[in-house]
Amino acid sequence: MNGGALGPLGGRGKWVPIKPATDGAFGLAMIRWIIENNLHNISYLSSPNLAVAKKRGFNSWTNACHLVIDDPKHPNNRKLLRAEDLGLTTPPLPEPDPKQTAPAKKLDYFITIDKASGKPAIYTDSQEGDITFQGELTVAEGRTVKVKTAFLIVKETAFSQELSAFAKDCGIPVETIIEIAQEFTSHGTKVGVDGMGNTAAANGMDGAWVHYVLCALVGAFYKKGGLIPGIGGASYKSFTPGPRYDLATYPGAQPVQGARISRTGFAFEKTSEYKKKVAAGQNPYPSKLPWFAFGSASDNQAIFSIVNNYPYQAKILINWMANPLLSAPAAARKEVLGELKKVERVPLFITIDAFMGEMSALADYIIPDTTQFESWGLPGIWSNFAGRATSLRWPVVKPMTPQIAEGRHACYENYLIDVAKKVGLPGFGDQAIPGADNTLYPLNNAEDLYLKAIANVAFDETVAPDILKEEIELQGLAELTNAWKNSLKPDEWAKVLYVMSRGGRFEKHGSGFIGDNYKYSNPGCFNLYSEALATAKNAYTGKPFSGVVGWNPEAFADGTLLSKAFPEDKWPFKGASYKAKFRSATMLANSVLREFNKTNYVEINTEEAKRFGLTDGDKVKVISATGAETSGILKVRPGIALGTIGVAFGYGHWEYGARAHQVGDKKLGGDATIGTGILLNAICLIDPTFKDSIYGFSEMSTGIPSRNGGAYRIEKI
Amino acid sequence: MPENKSHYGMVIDLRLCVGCHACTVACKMENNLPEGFFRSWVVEADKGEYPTVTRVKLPRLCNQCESAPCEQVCPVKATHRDEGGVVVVDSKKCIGCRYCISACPYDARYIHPKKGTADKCNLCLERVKGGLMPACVSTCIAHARYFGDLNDPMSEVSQLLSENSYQVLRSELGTKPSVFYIGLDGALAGADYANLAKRR
Repeated sequence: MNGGALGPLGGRGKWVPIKPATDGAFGLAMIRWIIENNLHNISYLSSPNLAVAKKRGFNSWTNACHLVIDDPKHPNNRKLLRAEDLGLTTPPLPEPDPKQTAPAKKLDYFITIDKASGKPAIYTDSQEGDITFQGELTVAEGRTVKVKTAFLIVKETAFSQELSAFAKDCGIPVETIIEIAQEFTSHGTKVGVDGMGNTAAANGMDGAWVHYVLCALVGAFYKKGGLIPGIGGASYKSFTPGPRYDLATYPGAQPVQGARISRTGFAFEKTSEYKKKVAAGQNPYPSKLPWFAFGSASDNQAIFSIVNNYPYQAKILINWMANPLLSAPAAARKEVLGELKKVERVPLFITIDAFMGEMSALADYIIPDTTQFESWGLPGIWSNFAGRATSLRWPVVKPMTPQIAEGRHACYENYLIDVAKKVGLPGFGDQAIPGADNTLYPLNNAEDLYLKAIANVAFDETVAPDILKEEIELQGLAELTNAWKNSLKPDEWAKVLYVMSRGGRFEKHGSGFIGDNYKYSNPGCFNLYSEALATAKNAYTGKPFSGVVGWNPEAFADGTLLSKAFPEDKWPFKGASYKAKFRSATMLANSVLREFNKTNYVEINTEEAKRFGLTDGDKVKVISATGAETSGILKVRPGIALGTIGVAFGYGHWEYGARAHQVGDKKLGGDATIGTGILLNAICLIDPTFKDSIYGFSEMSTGIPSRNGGAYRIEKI
Repeated sequence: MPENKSHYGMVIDLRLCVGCHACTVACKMENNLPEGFFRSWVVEADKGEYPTVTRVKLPRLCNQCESAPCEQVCPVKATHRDEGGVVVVDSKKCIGCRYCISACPYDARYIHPKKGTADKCNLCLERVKGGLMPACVSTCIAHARYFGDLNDPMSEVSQLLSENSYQVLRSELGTKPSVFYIGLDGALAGADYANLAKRR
């Protein structure tokens, strides 16, 4: 979308403009061309298991040659074919682990057509699978089952459209698609493609998945020069059962139960609503709002649950370090804000925040929190470094929040600890954290927890060396850490200070590889066919999702295409939210950095501006197809894709210092320069399918919000 | 300038600049600059015709001209030369008349809102005298900025200039800048510099 990521000179990079929310079309086009030209890595894809793949020089494996039941009459239709389906003898279950109380999990014996014998074989028993098999296999009782390989289903999906049709849909010419696909398949396994927030769209599941399918076609996972997927990476033990302390559990810990208010990670078919409807003989679909069998906690979905009192009434909302009104698409729409302010939606709202963000400004109680210079944290660095690494943040200045006791300041952790102690929850107080020596250690302050996590990091694997006396003196570490002396055992400090003085623990550069292979690779299978997805259902229509990556243009919950509901001739633009330099999506207190990009703009392409008679600097209205509008200053530039409105994140604040607040006898905030620019999220689309609810336009299998894409028009004011 | 003296200058390799603005931040911090003003900054502009578009990043600062218009117009000689021929402003002498600000073709000067006198980049001369690099050079993550003595043929800057083709900004004015850019011709060709003319 934005021509910003490229250096000015040299031919090492090229900007390829793409229409927002059409990554699936581009990816599928590449897949089609690669398969059509036999440039997919058959040696890799035909490896039926990891051991074979490794023998062939790869460091990961896929289920490309595994068989999928494609037989509507079969009870296991859409599932991967298993040994039991064919009546094949399966290896005996391993001896149950006497230490585990749970029964041994039933293993999956997936089936491939073994190249050598031409017969079905359990994937672990084959040296090479047929990736293009389709046909009928005889099952035990003489009946047959129709099957095809995962690879073939991907191929069929990719071949469902001509390259020219994909090209038209994504706005990238066929020759450019071929050029990129050619390049992508010209470097063996030394190639990679991955995406992050840019995939957030109402069809973003495919937009994200297609990266990994492309990498799978060439066997690039976990190879040097290939792809180590972004999220993950190897870290040291910290908030886990660790070498010094067990920070994963405590005596009296209760298992987490129930459905998250965000409706994520919980299939509709498991809800009481579904069961009741079925019991009453009704069609259980649609659910009132979508449910997502996949995904973890999601603030953008939670907001819409709260404002609709569904699946349950929010009682106490606790917000920490978050500003979802700025970051969650459609959350800042007027009608959503109106509901959030109602007591019947949020009876009690407590926020713990260092700033008066937009979300915090709605709270009943505000607990002052510490900033990054005053607080603890062990943030993950994902796969940005190929070795084992845990980074670390610790208070380098005395917090500016109120001192609540000697050496104790108001902050998120101390608030939780104090409330937990007051209401008598287990796991807090003097007897809280289990040590490796079977003794319970106190949790009375933030440092009691974080320093123990750092001790785990320091003692994990090969124990970290002791810090040198000179380093302690040079960095003044003795004075800085003196107040926390009792949070660790005396023999832990020299190692913990070693880690703290370095801002974390990092394996030596380059040590993440053995030869060409990433040594912390996940042994799991990269699914070209996802059985989990293929057997999950759209909670509105009750229709199952495809098990393979596809090109699914943006559509509402009931399947209505966005382009049909809001045709392009009336709504010619899609939105693209991008991160400006020196702007956080939500909050940024650094006034020096704020000066760099004082405001944002409504950015459109030069050719399109001409077509609509718009000029750089015009004051314009951006109108969303499902209602709501905002106004900003137009920026016309060639470095933006056709059909796109680019809007940088982090602008359009109405709180966070833009508005003045009276705190005691002090007036704080009221700086208009903080409130410059526009917030696209404030007008992002809602899904008109849900007539009685306000629901942000989202992807139906995961709840990914429509941050990019949608349908808009621009009017000159 | 006499031949035997040093001549401080800077070389910026635009092939390496990624537009991270670390130089801008380091300069603001090092020199404790007032809010809204910069001695060193980076401008960006789209370049090319759709869809073959890239984004130019051009770090800017006082060009330390050998024939400096600012020096020539200063009525009180507040703008003068220091070590290495660096153009500096003596804020004790400066009367804030703004002649230099109008004269500078590089938009490098401003009136310090608190002091009321002209201010601009001095190549972090105090750091240089103390044996350090200018803040922008030492912080550059891409190693795109180099500082040194242009009169010393063995200096990094002289070596870079002898090995690469380079340009200066607005050479037609004859100001003889001591700030050289490698790849400036490529960066400027076809770019929309409406945004470059003025300080951000």
